[in-house]
Amino acid sequence: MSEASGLAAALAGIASLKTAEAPDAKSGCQGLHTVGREAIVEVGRVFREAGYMLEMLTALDMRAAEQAMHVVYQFNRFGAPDRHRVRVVVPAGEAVPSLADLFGSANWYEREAFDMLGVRFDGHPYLVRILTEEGADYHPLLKDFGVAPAAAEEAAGG
Amino acid sequence: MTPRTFNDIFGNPYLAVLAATTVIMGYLTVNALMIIWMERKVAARMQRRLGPTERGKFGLLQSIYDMGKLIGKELITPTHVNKGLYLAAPVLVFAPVLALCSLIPVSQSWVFHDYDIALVLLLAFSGLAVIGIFSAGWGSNNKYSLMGAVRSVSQTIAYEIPLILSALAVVMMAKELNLYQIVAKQEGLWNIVLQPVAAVIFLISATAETNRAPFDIPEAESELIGGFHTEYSGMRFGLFFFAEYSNMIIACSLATVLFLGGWHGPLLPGILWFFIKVYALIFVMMWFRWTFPRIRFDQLLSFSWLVLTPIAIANLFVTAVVSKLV
Amino acid sequence: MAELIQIASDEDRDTFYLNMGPQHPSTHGVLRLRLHLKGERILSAEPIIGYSHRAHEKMAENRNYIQFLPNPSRVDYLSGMIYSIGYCQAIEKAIGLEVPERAEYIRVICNELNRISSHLLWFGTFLLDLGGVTPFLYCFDDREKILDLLDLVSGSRLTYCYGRFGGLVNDVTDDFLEGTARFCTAFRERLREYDRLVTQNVIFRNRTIGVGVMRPELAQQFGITGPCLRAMGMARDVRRDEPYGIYDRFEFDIPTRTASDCFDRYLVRIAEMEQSMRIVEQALAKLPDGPIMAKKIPRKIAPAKGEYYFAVESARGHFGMFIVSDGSEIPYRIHLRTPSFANLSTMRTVLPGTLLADTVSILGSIDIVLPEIDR
Repeated sequence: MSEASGLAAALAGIASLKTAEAPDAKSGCQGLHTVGREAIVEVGRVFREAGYMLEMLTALDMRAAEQAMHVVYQFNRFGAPDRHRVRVVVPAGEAVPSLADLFGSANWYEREAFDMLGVRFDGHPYLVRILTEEGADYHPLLKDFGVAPAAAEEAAGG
Repeated sequence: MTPRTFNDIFGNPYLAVLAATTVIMGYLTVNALMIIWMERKVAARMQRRLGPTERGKFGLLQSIYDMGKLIGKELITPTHVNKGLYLAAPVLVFAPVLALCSLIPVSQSWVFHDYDIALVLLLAFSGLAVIGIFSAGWGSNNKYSLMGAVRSVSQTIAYEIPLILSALAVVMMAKELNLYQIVAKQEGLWNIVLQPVAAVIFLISATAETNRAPFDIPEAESELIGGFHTEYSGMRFGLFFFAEYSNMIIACSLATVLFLGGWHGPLLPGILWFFIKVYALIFVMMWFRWTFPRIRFDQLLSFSWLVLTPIAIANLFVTAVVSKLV
Repeated sequence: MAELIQIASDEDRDTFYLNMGPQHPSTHGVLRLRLHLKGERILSAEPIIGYSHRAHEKMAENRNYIQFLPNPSRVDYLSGMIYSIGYCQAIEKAIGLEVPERAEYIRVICNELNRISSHLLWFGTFLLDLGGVTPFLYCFDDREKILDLLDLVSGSRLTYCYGRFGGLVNDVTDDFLEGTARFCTAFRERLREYDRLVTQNVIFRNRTIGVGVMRPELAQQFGITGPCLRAMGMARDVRRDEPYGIYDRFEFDIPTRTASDCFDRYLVRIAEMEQSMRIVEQALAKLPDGPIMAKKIPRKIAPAKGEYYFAVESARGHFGMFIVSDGSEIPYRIHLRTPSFANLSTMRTVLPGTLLADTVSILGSIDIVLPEIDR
């Protein structure tokens, strides 16, 4: 319990961090936060020192609605889940500081987010494509990346 | 007692060589096909499968079809290889086998040629195969092949020593290097009774010498893909395969000659006894292969240098002392 | 890592680079490892993935939730049932759909059978990597029985699509229930046989004990989950920590070991097979009668606008689904958090210093499934 409150206190110390009230059980998370991109390394350090792991990292293409990309970090601890989803909103085309120095898993997760959605991570030691071919000029999970006509038709027509 | 040699039988040394070569080549070919069939059947039975059943009775002809397939395949020579070594290697691997076979006394009544130092020749020739393997690995110009070749050389050197030391114990007792005489002296009492330690060491080393699992690290398919024969195809690969099974025959024949009393045995003719013993040993080798996982390379070497070699030396020492006293 | 790309210079003639894979017998599919070797010792290793990337996440954005149903079992084809049912459970939770009791029990039985079959395949291929061919065929013999059972209920043998939102597509038959009970009895005997053939084998022990030790701090660093984590001594299992479905109703242990080497990962998985059988037997004993589909299933499957995360314990570890809905029938984004992705990324740290032969056993022991990593 003290560990959790210590974490809460540490998180509260980060100026740009906004925590949502009482997340819905359906969200699967115990804490939902939004933070400015300059503070994400600090957030990562807080979680790391509290013994949390970086469970998931991905990005969302929200350019249509907000002209921004969302980078979603999910931290969790070992044992009973205490899952915190931290969101960084970054204007399309701009970079986010990398967590690769803090978490080994961030290295590949960030490469994947870069590969799939074109989000760049500052300070990443080796930010190259991981799943798609080398030298490709596309980021397939962007909403404006076209799909083959048949797939689009199937989605539209059912 | 002295056996009849092929020279005596045919009365002409050239004819004798021709006859011996024909007999050996014919035997080795049939034997390799049959051992491959046997290996597949044994493996299948150990793994609750049926093995080959389609071609011939009990799938006996399966190997002949496989042979046809191998012969029919295109011989690919990759462009990056060292051609001379690459092409010579399969021949180099297979050639010593022929020479080795002619030294084995299979029957009481005849031998191919009666050498007084047959054992020395045999051990010397068996070391030659490694040259073929190394030239295959080096000539292939492939990293996996090279590693397989390097492994093979260090393995052969490491296991040749306990092999020779354990054979030497038998030589000390028999005071003979002539294989025919070594067998002849075992009448009534096989060497395995007097030399159980040497026999076990010999069998282990022989398995390692023939690159059979669990000592098959030069070709270790899960690590090195195919090891030294990664780049070979068609019948060139077939020759390596052929040589492996022929080497098994030689190793097991030598074990039979040195420890299991060669042709000695009740009721049945001597030559039949010899082959019964050889194939029993081959079955044991197959049993090893389908039971054990592969030893790691460093463990393989330390097992030879730190376990087998000291025991073999101690055994040799004890043999020397005892034979002097008796 | 950047230094890995440089070609060895002329002065550096003692070392060489070896591309292990993507076509290699023991990289379990299409993994490529770029190894920097000195003799047989590994100086550095870089896994290169993506050879079987099939864009499942992109597919999700171009079809509705129901149309995505066959996909999850293709992500990890060895524990397809767990993935496929896990996806159903994620959507059910998101739209608040109750599943009938009987369906829940059958789901547990199928999940655990699938877990055993996945572990069996791992066991066989692991031994194959170490050069032992015979156990591989024994395992396939047993696995075949499970595949037949699952085939009986779901109609497929590998990439199952058995779950539906709100239940299951078919009810189980008596054949399935009897066959499962029979399998459990027979399989206990087989496990003892494996113990004699493999666990007690001195060569196997030499190849695995003390090999590929993952230091404990790697767990947090890399988010290792599943049997690899439990071999580090941490009893973490999604089935226990955040029970989904009805896993909280069963008694089972979470096997752990402490040395975190290949041998421990092996023992953990063997023990897990036994625990899975315990769960199956409990579920068989308690299986209630009743319907297998929920009564009222919405015609349109469209979770309310928002973000959902749902995790299940697959045979390899924590499988999470991050679903973003914009309120329509088509997912805005589905991100699959797959366990082997995190587990494999540790290889850069674990492999250096080991021998080439160990690479094979270490890779085998973390139980990677490449399509699941590449998605």
